[in-house]
Amino acid sequence: MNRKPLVIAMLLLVVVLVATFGYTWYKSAHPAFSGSLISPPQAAYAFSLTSQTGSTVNLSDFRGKYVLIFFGYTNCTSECPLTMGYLKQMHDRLGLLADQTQVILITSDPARDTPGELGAYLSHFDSSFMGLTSSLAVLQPVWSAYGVTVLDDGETHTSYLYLVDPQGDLIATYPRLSNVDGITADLKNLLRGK
Amino acid sequence: MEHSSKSSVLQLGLLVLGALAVLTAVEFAIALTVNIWQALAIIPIIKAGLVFYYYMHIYRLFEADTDVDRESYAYKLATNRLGLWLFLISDSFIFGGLMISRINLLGLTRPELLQVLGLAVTVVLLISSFFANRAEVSMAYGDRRQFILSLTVTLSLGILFLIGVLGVEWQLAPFGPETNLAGAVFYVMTGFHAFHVFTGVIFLAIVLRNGLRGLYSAEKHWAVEASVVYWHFIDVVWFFFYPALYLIGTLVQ
Repeated sequence: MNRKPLVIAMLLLVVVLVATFGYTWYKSAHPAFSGSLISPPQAAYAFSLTSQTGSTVNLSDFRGKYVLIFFGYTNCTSECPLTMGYLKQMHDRLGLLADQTQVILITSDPARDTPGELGAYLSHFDSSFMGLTSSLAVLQPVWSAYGVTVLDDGETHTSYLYLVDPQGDLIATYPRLSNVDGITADLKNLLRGK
Repeated sequence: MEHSSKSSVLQLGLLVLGALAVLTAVEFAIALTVNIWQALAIIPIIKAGLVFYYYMHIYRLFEADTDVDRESYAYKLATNRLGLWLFLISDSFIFGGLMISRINLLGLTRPELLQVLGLAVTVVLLISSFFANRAEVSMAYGDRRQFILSLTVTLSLGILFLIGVLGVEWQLAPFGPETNLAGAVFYVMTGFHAFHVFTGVIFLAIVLRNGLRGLYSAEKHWAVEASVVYWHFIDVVWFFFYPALYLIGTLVQ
């Protein structure tokens, strides 16, 4: 009987193996970015707000770190706790690398979100997370600079997450987190210089 | 086949089993390491190609029908083969439909199953195909003793597969058909496949009984060929179902 098909099958297997490992090698050398890249990066709007401890915080304080900015409010029941939960998972998965990142929640409801409220809210997630608030007059330019629409009751319909690089440039956005794999891999790759 | 010696044909069958085992091992290794679905989709096609050619002798369909005598055994054999393959094609639409449902409903996720058990039942079915081929080749060369022996082994391995899937996997799976989509897909796919294995076992058992009664000869053994080709078809279906259920993608949350 003809042995040719057997040889062809084995050759195909070799092709599949070479392609699989070639692809894997290529992927690890050129990791895909799961967020939406902003190209070229733009200077992130510099804000100066009050943290949950009452101190004044500037975006420039975080030069040298990757900063993740999220807009939400403590009375929010859907998107905000979900996103903060994902960010907590991301923070844990980053391990030691997490020191080079900073998660910031900027309130969209300054009327209710006092520093104390924000501190109590964020303590459910991670002690390193920062909650920022201020007066409406100070917050409004920040919201509009990041394209956040805030309704009268402080509700926001934006669930974008903004990634600011160590130079203070806005480099990417995440429209809506549905898992932590992508954002964790992105930060790992960025921090490891890939 | 008539031009090759029996031992060389049996040896080739063993070589094909070796190739299928290597392909399955590579498939399993890829799934556990890089899990690239494209690779896991191509390997079953290569395996199916080998079985179609060496075990199911698909080329026999294209052998010229030179016999003009419509009452001859050769003519009837050619017609029978065509009929059997038409049935297999129509049957594969059911399995194809189930596969499409799985792709649409689960995408790149898979249910949480026992990896070792999945590999074990796959190997059992693969070896049963080897023995099915051995049984058919033995009959074609008139070796009745070897035919009975190989067919018995095939039949036993088929029953072992059913015990593995229905008796172990179904009982140990941490979900039921009603738990979630993955559960529904898993039970309907394995259930439909297991039903075919069950009918295959019945088919083989009837052929075994008739074989013991001496109803087949080296020249005339269509039922042996048909049951064995059907058996290989069930194995080929599992080539695709196994990676689809056990290997491709990440676990369903």
